[in-house]
Parts: sequence; structure tokens; C-alpha cells
Amino acid sequence: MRNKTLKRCYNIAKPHIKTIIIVSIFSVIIELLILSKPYLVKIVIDDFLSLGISEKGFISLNIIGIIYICIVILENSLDFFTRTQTNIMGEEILYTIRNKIYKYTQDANITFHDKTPAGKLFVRITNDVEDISALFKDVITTLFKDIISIIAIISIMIYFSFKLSMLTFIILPFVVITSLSITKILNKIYDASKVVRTNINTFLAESIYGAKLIKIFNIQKEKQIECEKLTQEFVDTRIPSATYEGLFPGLMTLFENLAITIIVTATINNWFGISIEIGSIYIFVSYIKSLFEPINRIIDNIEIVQEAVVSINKIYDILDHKEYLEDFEKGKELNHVNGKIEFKNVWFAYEKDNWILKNINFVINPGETIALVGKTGSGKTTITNLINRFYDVQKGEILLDGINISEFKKRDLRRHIGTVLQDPFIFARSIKDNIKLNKKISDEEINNAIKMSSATDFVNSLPNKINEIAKERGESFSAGQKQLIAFARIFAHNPDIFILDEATANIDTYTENLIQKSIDKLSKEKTAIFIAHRLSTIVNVDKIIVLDKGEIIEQGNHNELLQTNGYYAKLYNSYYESLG
Amino acid sequence: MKKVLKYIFKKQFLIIFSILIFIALNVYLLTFPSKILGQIIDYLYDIEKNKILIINSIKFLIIISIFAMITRVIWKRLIAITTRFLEKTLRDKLFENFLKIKLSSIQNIKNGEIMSYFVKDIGELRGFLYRILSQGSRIIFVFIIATSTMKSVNTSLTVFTLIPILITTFIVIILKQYIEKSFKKSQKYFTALSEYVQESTDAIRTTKAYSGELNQLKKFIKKNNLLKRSNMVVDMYSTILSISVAICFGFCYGIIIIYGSRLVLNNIITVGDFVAFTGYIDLFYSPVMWLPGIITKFKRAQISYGRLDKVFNLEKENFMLENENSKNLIHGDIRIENLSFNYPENIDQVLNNISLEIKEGETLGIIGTIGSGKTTLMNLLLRLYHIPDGKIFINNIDINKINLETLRNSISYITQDNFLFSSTIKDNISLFKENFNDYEIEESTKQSMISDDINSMKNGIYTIIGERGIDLSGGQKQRVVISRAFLNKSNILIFDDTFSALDNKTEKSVLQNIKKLVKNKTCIIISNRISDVKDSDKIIVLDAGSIVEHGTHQELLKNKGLYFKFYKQQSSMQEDSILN
Repeated sequence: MRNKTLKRCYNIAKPHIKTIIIVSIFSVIIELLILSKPYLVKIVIDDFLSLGISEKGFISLNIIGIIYICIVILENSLDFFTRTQTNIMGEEILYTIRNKIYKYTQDANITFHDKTPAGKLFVRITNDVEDISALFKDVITTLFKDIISIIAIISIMIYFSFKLSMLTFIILPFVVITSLSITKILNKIYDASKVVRTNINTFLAESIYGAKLIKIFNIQKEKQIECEKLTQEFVDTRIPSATYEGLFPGLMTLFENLAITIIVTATINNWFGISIEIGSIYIFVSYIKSLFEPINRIIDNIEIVQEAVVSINKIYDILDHKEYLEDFEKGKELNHVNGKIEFKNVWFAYEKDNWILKNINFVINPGETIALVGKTGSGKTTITNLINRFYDVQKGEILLDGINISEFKKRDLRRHIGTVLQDPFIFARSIKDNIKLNKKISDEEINNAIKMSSATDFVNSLPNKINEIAKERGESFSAGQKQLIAFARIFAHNPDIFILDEATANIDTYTENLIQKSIDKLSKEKTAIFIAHRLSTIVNVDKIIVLDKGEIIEQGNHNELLQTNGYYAKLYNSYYESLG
Repeated sequence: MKKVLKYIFKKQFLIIFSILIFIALNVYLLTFPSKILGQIIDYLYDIEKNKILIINSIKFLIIISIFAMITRVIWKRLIAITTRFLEKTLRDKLFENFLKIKLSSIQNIKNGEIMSYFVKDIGELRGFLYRILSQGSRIIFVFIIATSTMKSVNTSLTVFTLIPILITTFIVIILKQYIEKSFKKSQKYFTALSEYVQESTDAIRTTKAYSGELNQLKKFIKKNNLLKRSNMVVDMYSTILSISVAICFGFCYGIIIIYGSRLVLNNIITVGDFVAFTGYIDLFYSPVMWLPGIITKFKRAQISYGRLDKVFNLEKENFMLENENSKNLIHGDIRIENLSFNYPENIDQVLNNISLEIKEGETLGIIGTIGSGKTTLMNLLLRLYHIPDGKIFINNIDINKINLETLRNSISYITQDNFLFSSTIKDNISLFKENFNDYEIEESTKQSMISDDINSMKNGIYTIIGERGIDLSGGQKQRVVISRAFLNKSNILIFDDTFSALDNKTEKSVLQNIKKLVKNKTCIIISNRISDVKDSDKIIVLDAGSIVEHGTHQELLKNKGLYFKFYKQQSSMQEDSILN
């Protein structure tokens, strides 16, 4: 598991190895420059001020001051370079990962999408990638820098006075323990308050959505009490964090001063024979201060790394499942379709052995129109999904014009089949783009398609006509209007095989008749498959296939089926009786 | 809004005052460590003579650090109390106000927008108060206290070192504006990308059916690229900011080395003062970085205040009436006289000269096309929108003269959108009112034919549903909603298209139970299905806001009008539930 994670991280970082190496080298240089600054001050104190001179050979205080400023400028220029490089690297990594997952979602088959909720994918591409960002933009460089600076500071301190260093380092374990435990406590508080905050937001969102209901049933008081209870709970869970947030920097200052105390006391008492120059005390004090910072940062980073690793694993757990990917270009080209569809002993299951379709056999001849009838779950939609090759059959075969459909390029196959669903998807783009869907179609053809789907009145009533931008998911349109757009879509694309899956459910009877006429006209020479729940759309088809629990129980046209007096006839008659 | 803020400040005045005192104290204490360190260094030049002085200084140093820590924890905690109190009070008051606002005033505001008042705008105000208290006050105190401490050592050195700090402050303010701007831009691109991802994961079936995967990916890469570039710009500005601050502070040290050491050599200041000065400079580091944040926070808080103020001032419903009628539940005949209505800011008349009468104990059926004004009529009956006097009477009393609470308590309006709160089934039926026991609630679920479904759940009526619980089917939701009618002891019941997701058998049973329930009550049933209304004592047909036909089922059939047309359409229209 750990090896796998490491390998994944390595794979992500691999194209940027050069940057990482350069940045690391630069970090060492920067760190040395930073540490040399207190040393310059030490020289000023010990070699000039303590002796009361301003010049010593070639070196004067002015020159040291200028050297100091030069070091600052050099250090920061290098820092600018390394930071820019790491930021660019981080962004490039995120960019690549986002593209990778998105490509995966597009290429993955429907089985994958059935299993993976859209919300989950959304979180992977947005939030999880952001979590990784911190790892590659900040941690990867600061971690290295921090480790180097800790090592460098400790070795320099030891170089100046081994004994004094050892005495001062007594304080370090306390720093680490304090930092670790306060971080832990704070995270606990934050997590708890996050839960309460989510509850408040859910409560508010619901109350806003249900505002009318609250008024109708007069439950303002009850809701107010609930609101105040939740907000109070949030206050109660959140406030303790302030104590620890205040305590942390206070404790760090205290530790700093304790370290100073140790240094000074040891020096004045000559403990273990410790005796150093005054400037060295300055160095010790400034170094011990700059030792705390990287230690605390590393502790902070632990959590960032943990989060990032979780996110990386989540993302790669998806990406590594290559079996879901579809190959659109594999297979024969499909240029001309006559439209003969044949199901030969087809068995199909979404999950192993839970057969949704059992031994399905039927033939649709070119130009025929058929209807699939059956209860919810009887397998109607599954049949259309198989023709589209959204799924592959487990047993038997589906033939198009006598050739197994798995031999064709998926892209070509789907291009020749047009499907209208009950709840068609409308993109947040113009009506025109919604009809075109990336295909090159002239305005004239689009207008024609709109006319055929009887959507002209509806489209003309929009302020910007066919250039009107739909809201998210077409929320500004009614279910019926969305279906009209979907019909225009299919008319404009003019496929060789039509599949209408309860496509007219939300369209009134009058408009439905008009669309039906357009479909009849178009599908005269084309194969069409209907799944419908209104008898009027079924009565006139060439063949009705009645499904029950994944099996075909009746086949034939309307009159034939009425004469057999079976399942279909029973359905048909029962409705007329119920109307009385 | 002003009133609420005044109330908050009145309540928190003492706390805010103490916060300022404690922060001032804390900043003052924090100048001591550098000063003491300086002293100690001076003493160290003659250890033997000053040993006691040094030990005293060290003791003092530790005591000061402990006090600094304590004051810090205190003001941190006090600020948390004040800011969270502000947040809670504003949220509670806003919620209280929101529930009172007239429906006509909020219907044009999107739900997401209202949500952002509660979350974002209140958050902005809290954030501003937090910044002004914790950082704003510290900026001022640091500049006053640290500067005066420095001045007490040497005025000219103070002036020379403060110059780079002031320059830095300007640079930071200017650069922060660029960062803010570029950050907004990158956030915009992030939102665009997120929306795109959400849309395309939802649209995956449509995309696949039309083989649009490649085009989708191309568009994604384009958006991703924009995001990457804008993020890089943000990073770039942030890097420039921190680098320039570091360089400016480096100059401060340089100046101290060059000019300060000269002062030491001229015996104007001591070596200890020289060291202490470097410590004072560090105190300015954070305040300089905070300043621009406060400026932008102030601007945002101003905007949020304006937005919230607007919501607080929206017109409220008038619950109290001067000549209030009895608080007893009203019952009886409903009479509507020449009622016409259009929604505010809408030109089209929704209801046109409606007159009708329903006697106590009668059931009225309303049937009509979508948008014919059925639901609007019911909204007016509950006074969700304002109508002039003399239009609607219940028991011969003008509804404008009836106490709003009484009116709404007397009417059980079962709406067509089956909205449920994410809470238990019990809460959703009783609507959080505590005066119903479990037995009563279970009885009501039996009447609405949902009790079998509920009994099969592990926790029965205590099962949590919705966002945080299990998901009910459309039909189940509808039956939970209908249970409310059986639980409430209202005298007037309205069912607004509440049977659409029920299958024939269940619908029939529910309708029969309703018939028993409303025996001596006034009842209105709205539906598109003839079968729901055909047994009503009276049926009206609404079309484009007018009553076009009225009578009993048989009378209307003979009429051969719109009702008859619906009847015929529905006879030839096979319903989903029949085929299923």
C-alpha cells in the first residue's frame, strides 16, 4: 500500500525531476545565506563594537552593512526564482492530473458511471486536486528547506559550542510535543465545528426552499427554535479553539525565552566550562528562534501530506482501473446503415448472474418501427442501451445489418443511432449549440429541425430565439420544452436508427401528435424503436414486443396481440375500464 | 439591521473594551523580551559585577513571557466570544426576519442568493469584526508602543529604520490589490471549470450517445489551461509581495548595522540597545502584512452590510390585526367574489374574475391545464399574497380580517411539490409540532397508505429521511406529505395535485380515506386526472385564469366542453401506471 502511494507520487513528480533538483540545490544556498546573517551581526558585535573600533584591516562596519544588504538581495532573488519554479511546477502537475481524470471520465463506459456518482467525480476533479496542490506547491519545497535549515542550524550551533548546544536542545522535545498536541486538539475542534456548520447550512437551505411550506403550516416558531439551537451549538463547539490558538504562539515565545535563560545562565555560571563571546550569544539566541519555525512547519505539513496522499490515492484508484475505458476507434468503419437489427439469444446482466435480459430474440427489419412494452425493470431501456453499446452483452449477439455490432467502431455506431430520453440533458449553452452538439450543422437545418419538432413557437417566444442560453441543466425550461429541444436535436442529426425512450411523457397530446407525424415522415425508411406509455403512440407500430422480467412474452402488432388476448390485451382493456 | 447591530454592540461593549485593553497590554509586554535581552548583553560585559542583575533580568523575562501568554489567551478568547455572538445573533435575527417576509418579496430572489446572505454576508461581517479587533488594534498599538519604545532609545535610528517599513507598507497595499484582482479572476475560472465538470459528468449519457467525448475534452483542456495560467499569476504576485517585504526588512537590518553601530561607537547607545533594536523591527513584520487585508475586508463588509440591510427591510407579513377575530379555528363556507389577480411586476393576469362558493361539508374539484391559475387561487386563500378586501370570505368573514395564524392553522394545504425536511418521518408529518403523539402519527400514516412502507424501515417513524438519511421514492414522499392532512385537525383541506405519483390502487384507497376524513369539512381537490375529481360535489374547470365550466361530473360530460375533451384525451392516453 505504502509502496504504491510512493510510486504514484514518484510518477506525478517524474516529469519535473530537473526542477526539483535545481530547486533543492538553490534551497541549500538560500538557507546558508539566511544563516550567515546573524553571523555578520556577531562579527559586528565581537570584532568591532566590543573593541570600540569601526575598521579592521580592509573591513569596515559600512562594508559589513553593505554585504548584509547584498546577502539579503541575493537570498531573495534566489528565493524568487525557486518559488516561481515550484509554483509553475505545482500548477503544471495539477493541470495534468485534472486533464487525466477528466479524460478518464469521458472515456469510461456507462458501467463505470453507473457505479460512480457524478458528485464523487466532481469532488475528485476539483477538491481532491486542490488538496494535492498544497503538497506540490508548498510542502515539497519547504519540507526540504526546513530539514536543511534544522540540520544547518544545529550543526552551526554545535560548531560554536557543543556543550551549550546540548543544554539548549533540552527545550526542543517540549516544542515538538506542544506543537503536536495543540495541532491535534485544534483539528478535533475544527472537525467538530465543521459538522455543526454543515448541519446549519443544510437546515438553512431547507428552510429557504421550504419557506412557503413553513408559512402554510405556521411553523415559524418551531423553525426559529431549531435555528437558535444550531447556531448556539456552533458557538459552543467553536469558541474553545480560541484558547489554543492564543496559547500556541504564547508558549513558543515562552520556550524561546527559556532557551535564552538557559544560554545566559550557563554562560554566567560557567557551567561545564561554558564561556563564549557576547556575539555568539546573539547568534545562539537568533538561531534558536529560527529553529522553532521549521519544526512547527514540518508538524503542520504532516497533515497536509496525509490529506494529499489520501487524495492522490482516491484519484489513482479511479485512474488505474483501465478496464472501464472505452476504445472508440477500434473496429470496422461503419458508413452506410440499412437498419436491420437482430437480437440473437441475448443474455445480459449488470451484476454477475443477476440476469436483466434472458435469451432475447427478435428482428427489426430496415424501415420498421417497433415498440417495447413492459413494467418498470422489465428490461426495455436495457435493450436500447445494448444497441448503443453502452454495455456489452454477456451471451448471444446483436447484429446490425448482419454484422455483430462489437465489430464496429463505437464512435461510428453511436453516430448512426439517435436517442431521445425521457429527461433529456440540456447543456448550459445556446439552444443552437444544444441542438448541434459539436456537429457541423447549418442554421437552416437547425431551423428545419425545430420546425419538425413543433418547437418553433417555443423557441420564438425566447428573447434571443435559438441563441438563447439555457440555464444549468435547462432549469429555465419545463420538462416538455426540454423534450422538444431533444427532438430537434435528433431531427437535426438525422440518424439512421431512432430510439425514443418515453420521450413524449411531458408533452401534451396535441404537440405529441405533431411530433409523431414528423417522426413518421422521417422514419419511413428508417428503423425506429419506441418505449412509450401512451397507447396512441404504440397502436400503429409494425411490431410490439412485450417484456416481463427480462423475457419476451408476446410479439406482434396491435391487432394480433389483442386477438391473442394475453398480457397486452389485458393492459389495454383495463385502462378503458378504469375510466368508466 | 442597524437595530440589530446596536443591540449587539450594547451587549458586547464591555467585552470589546476589555479586548482592546488586553491587546494593548499584550503588545506592551511583547516589547520587553528584546529590551531585556539587550540589557543582559550589556550586563554580560562584566559578568562578575552584574551577576545578580542578570539573574533578575532573566527572572523578569520569564515572568513577562508568562503574562504575555496569559493576556494573549484572554483577548483571543474574548474576540472569539464577541465575533461568534455577532454571527449567531445576526443569523438568528435574519432567519426570524426571513420567515416573516412576504412571499411576493422573496420569490424573485434565488434560493442560492438567500443562502449566501446567511453564509457569506454574515461571514464577511464577522470576519471584518475579527480583523479589526485582532489585527487592526494590534497594528495601531504596535506602531504606537513599539515606536515609542524605540524612540526612547534613539530618535534618529528610529526614523531611519521606520522609513523602509513605511515604504514596505505602501508596496504591500498596492501589491495586495493586484493579488486580490488576480485571485478573483482565478476563482472565476475555477468556478467555470467546476460547473463544466458538473455538467459534463451529469451529461455523460448524452455525450456518449452523440460521440462528443473528444470535443468535451478539448473544451475542458481549454478551461483548465485558463485556470492554470491565472493561478500562476496569483502565485507570481504573492511571491513578489513576500520577497519585497523580506528585502525591505533586510534594509532595516542593514541600516541598524551601519548607522546603529556608529551610534554604539560614539557611546550614544549601548551594544544591548543595538541588539534590542533588531528585535523591535521584528514586531512590525506582521502588522505590515495585515494592513491591506483589513482594507479589502472593510470594502467587502460594507457591501455585505448593504445586502443584509436590504433583506431586513423587505416587507413583512402582518400577523397582528387591530380588530382581531377569535383565535379559535375557523370553519365553514368559502366564498370568492369577482377575484382577479396578477403577481407583482407581472403583466399577465393569472386569475380573472373568479367567483365560487363551497359549502361546509362539500368537496370542490378543480381541473385545468398547466398555468391555469389553480395553485395561485389556493395561495390567495392562505393569504400568501395580498388581495384587496371584499374578495374572499370564510364563514362570511373577509379573510383579510382573520388573524393570519388562525387562518393558516385552519387550512391544511397539501402542496404539489413533495418537499421534505431532512429529519425523521415523524417530524415531517407533524412538522416539528410537539402536540402529537406517536400513535396519532402512525394512524395518519395508515390513512395515507404509507404505514406498511414505514413499518418495513428499522426505525419506523423515527427513520431519518432526506439529505442526511434514506431517500424515499416520489410516491412515498407524496404519501408522507398527505399524512399531514390526516394528522391536522383543520377544518378546511386542500390537496393540490398530490396524487400524481401514486399508482391506481393506492390512489383509490387514499381518496376513499380522504372522503371519510372530510365528511363535515370543506375540501378542495386539484388534479389533472378526471378520476381524482369526478366524485366531487362540484367541479370547476379553469383555463387561463377563468372558470370556463362548472358542475358535477355527469353535467360536465354532457356539456361536451373542455372537461369532456380532457376526459376523452385521458381515455385514449395510457398512463404509465397502467403499463407498469
